[in-house]
Amino acid sequence: MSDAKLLEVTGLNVAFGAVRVVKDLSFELRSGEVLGLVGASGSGKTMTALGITRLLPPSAVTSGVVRINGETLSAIPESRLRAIRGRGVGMVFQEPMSALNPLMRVGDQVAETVRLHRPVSRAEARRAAREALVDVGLEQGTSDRLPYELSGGQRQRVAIAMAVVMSPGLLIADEPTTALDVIAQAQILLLLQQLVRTRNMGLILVSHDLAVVAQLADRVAVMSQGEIIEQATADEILRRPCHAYTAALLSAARLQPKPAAPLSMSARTSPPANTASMPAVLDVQGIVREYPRKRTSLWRPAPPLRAVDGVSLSVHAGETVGLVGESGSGKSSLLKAILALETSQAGEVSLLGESMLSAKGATMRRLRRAIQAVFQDPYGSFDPQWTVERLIGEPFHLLASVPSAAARRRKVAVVLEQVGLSASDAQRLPREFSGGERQRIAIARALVTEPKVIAFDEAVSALDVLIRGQVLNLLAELAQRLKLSYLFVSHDLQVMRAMADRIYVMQRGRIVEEGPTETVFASPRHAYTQALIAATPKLPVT
Amino acid sequence: MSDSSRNTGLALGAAITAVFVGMAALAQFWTPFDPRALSIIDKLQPPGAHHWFGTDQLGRDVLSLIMLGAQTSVGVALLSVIIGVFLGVPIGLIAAARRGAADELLMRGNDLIFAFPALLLAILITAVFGPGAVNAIIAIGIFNIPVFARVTRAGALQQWTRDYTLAARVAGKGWVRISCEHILPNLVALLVVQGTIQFSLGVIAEAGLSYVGLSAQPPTPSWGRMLNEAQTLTALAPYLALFPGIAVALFVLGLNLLGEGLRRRSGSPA
Repeated sequence: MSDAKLLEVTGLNVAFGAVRVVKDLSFELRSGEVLGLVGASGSGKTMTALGITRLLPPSAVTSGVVRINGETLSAIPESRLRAIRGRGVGMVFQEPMSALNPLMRVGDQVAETVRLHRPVSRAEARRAAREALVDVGLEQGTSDRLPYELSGGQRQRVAIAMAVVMSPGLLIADEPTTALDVIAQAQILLLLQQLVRTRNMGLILVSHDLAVVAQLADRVAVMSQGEIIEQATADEILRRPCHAYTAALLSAARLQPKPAAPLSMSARTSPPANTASMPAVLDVQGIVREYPRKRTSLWRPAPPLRAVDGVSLSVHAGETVGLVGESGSGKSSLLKAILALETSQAGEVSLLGESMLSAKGATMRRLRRAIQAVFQDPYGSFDPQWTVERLIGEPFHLLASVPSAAARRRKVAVVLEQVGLSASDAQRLPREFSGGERQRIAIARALVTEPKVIAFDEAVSALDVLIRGQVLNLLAELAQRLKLSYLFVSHDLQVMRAMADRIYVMQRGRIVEEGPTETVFASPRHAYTQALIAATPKLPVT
Repeated sequence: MSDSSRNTGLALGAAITAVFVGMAALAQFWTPFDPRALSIIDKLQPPGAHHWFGTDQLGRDVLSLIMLGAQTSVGVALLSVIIGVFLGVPIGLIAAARRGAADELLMRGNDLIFAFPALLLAILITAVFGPGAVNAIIAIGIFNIPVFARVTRAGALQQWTRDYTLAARVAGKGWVRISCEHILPNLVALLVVQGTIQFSLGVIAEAGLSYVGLSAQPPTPSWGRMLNEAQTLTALAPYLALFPGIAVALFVLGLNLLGEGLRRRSGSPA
């Protein structure tokens, strides 16, 4: 069986009008084999995955031959195709929430898939669903729960259960871990690997992250602009990439750890000792952030949810401080409390020696000038109707006297050039820019008031590896040139290691470990830090 | 395929609306006949070359009356939409920005207005304060307030979840400024659609009120009163009821097509 070709794609083309998104693609896959499909966003990976099962929107024009188990898909009618989709091919997508019906118990959703493809009784389908949910590592009772009661990782497990419940020969997973944090990602990858082994399935793993693909794939196909530019065993690709683009992807995925403490030559080995004498630019003491919960008893209010539980941290001049933790650990809540965007229940934030939380009026504006922020979503961070110039100029509101139009334009041009865009971009709208360019605009907006500290909330998580590398380089360069301090929040340890001088590890609202980045990475003390580091996908160093 | 059908709907709706609004504007300067001139000799003439839509029981030209009636209709509906927008939109913006107690208070107040059957309360208002176009505008306008408040609040809540509002707050802007500079401009498409729908409901409400004699008073012509007066003459001159009836139905249809077309084009949900 293992030498039989499970999937054969020959000359697959997908076009929308005159735009060809997939060009003359050919590859094959055997049972028990994992093919990694890697490329930047827009390279045609997802269109390829959808093209195989003919799930593309009707406006797409496809040609080429797709054979599954020797059966040519393009030659069979839609009704037969539907049967193949469930039984022959399973699919898992990026966003586990939207893949599930929010109002239906997850067990019933899996059972529905069973009943669509096999004439079985309701009870039998339920039993098959329960088994499938256990097979993907969920607890016994999970089948009676609703999607919103599950974590992102658990939801993705449900989606995988739905995909594999009919024991398809081929599983296509499109960025299955991109929406998850590192620990959940590692678990899902492990699960996929086990499924491939125990069921002798073929797996096509689509991802922009070479490090993720390298963990599972036997063979890797690198896509760029709709074409496979290189296809080889994972080992060969990682050690001897032939194509320059592959090499670029690899080097972007292999972020170099930041050289220790460029703060001061004399204190190379112990930056805390050096900085302890200096007052911190940003000093956070015992922040508590509670959110009210829905009352469950008529007589007393429910205990509030403590998202941030007495966190203290400090950022010194010219230092990049990292804050790591999985999603839901309270990182973003802490950041909002520090930025005084939400009221904290206890604690103190002092910026340049002044209290941020009690500041008002002119003092508040002066402090806000000194701390700016860049947020995660490069699409949601901008008012879609404003021009770049107006968006970047928004923080001018904080200046004591708003500069003249000419002065504003000059300043916007300066920051645009600082972030590697051109002054002529000022009159364009945000939708005309790519994700990476938008994040540059967000950085420009943060720079325009000449702040001392910039807070980044998962600022590079939504970016492709290549773009991520460019943005991180830009940030490092700006920090040095403009003597900026960064507070860098991320769940990605690789990014942390490349950026931060010191890191704080946050779990369930508390800081569980802190120290110079390399020390923490070399000898993590807390079990949670150890788990995070172990879960981070690594590329073999060559 | 869906593209062309939505465009025809939008174009048709816009054309019908333009005809009626144009007719109302034209009536300000010119009508085929003087609609106030009574001429008993010409009474109840059927539609013909001279009087296209015929004449009524007092010999007035029906086409001229319809044109002036359009003026009443457009005027009352438009002003009541304006009342709804000017009071309802700020309520929605405040409720969305402040949340908590302010939100509860404002939205429950809205619910209170919603709890009354609209047309009945309008009749009550005009009955208490006297019939007339101004009171009809106020009565219809009051019911537009909660509609706009709700639509605005729902849209604004969605906008507030987006990171750009955070960025604006990092830039030191308060909720009032953010609401005016960011939230409101992003709701324009939504409000234009709702405005068109409320406009059509206003046309129906005005026709209803004037039918029972509670809107514009004679001699100001209005479609509702024309329908009422035509009722007794249905056997003699059915066309008298036909033309104002068609006018109301066609105008409302046009406005609804326009609203639906705009909604689809802006891509916002119903």
